[in-house]
Amino acid sequence: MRVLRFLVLVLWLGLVSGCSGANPLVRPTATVVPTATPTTARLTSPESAAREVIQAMALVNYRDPQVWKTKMLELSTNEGKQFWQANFDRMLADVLAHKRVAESVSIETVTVLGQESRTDSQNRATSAAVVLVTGRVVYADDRGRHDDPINQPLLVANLDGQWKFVMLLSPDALQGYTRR
Amino acid sequence: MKIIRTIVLTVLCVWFWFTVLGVPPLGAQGPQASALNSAMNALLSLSGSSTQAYVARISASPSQAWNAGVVTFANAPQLIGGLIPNGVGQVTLPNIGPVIPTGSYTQDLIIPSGVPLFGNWNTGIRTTVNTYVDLYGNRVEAAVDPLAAFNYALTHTNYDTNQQSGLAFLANVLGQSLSGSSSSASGGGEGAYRLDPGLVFAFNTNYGQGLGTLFGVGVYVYETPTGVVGGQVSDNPGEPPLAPPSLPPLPVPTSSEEV
Repeated sequence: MRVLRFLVLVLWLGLVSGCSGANPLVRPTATVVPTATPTTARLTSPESAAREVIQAMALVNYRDPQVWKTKMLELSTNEGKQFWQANFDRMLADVLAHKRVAESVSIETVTVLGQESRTDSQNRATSAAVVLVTGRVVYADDRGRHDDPINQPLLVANLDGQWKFVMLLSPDALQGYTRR
Repeated sequence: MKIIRTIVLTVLCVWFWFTVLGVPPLGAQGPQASALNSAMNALLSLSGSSTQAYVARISASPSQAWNAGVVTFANAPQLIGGLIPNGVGQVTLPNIGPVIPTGSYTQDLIIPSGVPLFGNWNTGIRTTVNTYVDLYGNRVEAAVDPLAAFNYALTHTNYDTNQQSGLAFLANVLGQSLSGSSSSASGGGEGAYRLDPGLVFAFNTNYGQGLGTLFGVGVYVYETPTGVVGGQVSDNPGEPPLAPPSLPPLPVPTSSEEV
């Protein structure tokens, strides 16, 4: 009977570990191959929002910049939309000039570096988080095929129940903090 | 049998705690996290209500950003440098003496992207830096507008030789934090995006290090032929100025100022 109870416990632990998100700081590698209809994001946490944003961002294709733009706007707060609108041209310049097509994106880690919440006078909760996303992107352009690392901190906020993009931060900022 | 069972259960519990519940190991968030948490705090507290309001204010104009910075850092515990009483345009700078205006130039604050398909992105913050020469022909540059000062500090991180004080220290700390680079042809343009969380970032990071009053007046640098650069940042009249850099007597002046 005792042995049976023990086995049940082990089995239960195994099941729970299989269903859980495990350690939220580091998630297993997942490769995303671009598709015609990207999956709608479940932006329920800063990690999932940041992951979705970086995946969508990296999956750019010079043939359909409008699709890319629409997706980025979709994942953004109003401020995030402003950010993109102000930077679309600059960011897409090389993509278009070199006929760049992303082949795959693999996200290696999604780490919440900081998260804070506030409640305003009307009792509305607002949260913001800095999330670091690392991984790799494979893309091709008129200069060949590339396999480069992604190392992008970004700011996300939860204003209306969904975590959304606010803006990119400098990757170099992290080096400064590490040294400090 | 009992001992084995206890050991197995203990191991399982430890594994369950770290793996299934996802409890991070000690020290997993390190010093980066605390600095970033400060930034998050500021991001949310600046508005007094919501991130959205904060962002809206900061994006509205540099002066709004300036005000937000002043409010947030009004209680900074330390100060750096001496007073620059009259700001850009004045003809006498502390520790330098009379200077002659030679022109100005503008820069945009550009941030690199961490996704390699793309280039940089533009904060939309454009700085005007005024240039001068002193009586010995040494170059002096000054940016007094708060965002200009901030931007200038970001883009001039390599001038300092000792990196210990004044603008040099400021520039290095901020430069390390954001590593902004400048370009005069960035296409930031009118009405460009003005949100600058890096500002919050940098100022919170440096809050305890005496850089909280950067916004008070502005910055200037003083570049001599030996490469020594003096600089000051402050709005505090009560603070004694930094000692001036020792200058060798120099023959007169040179030419080329950026305009």
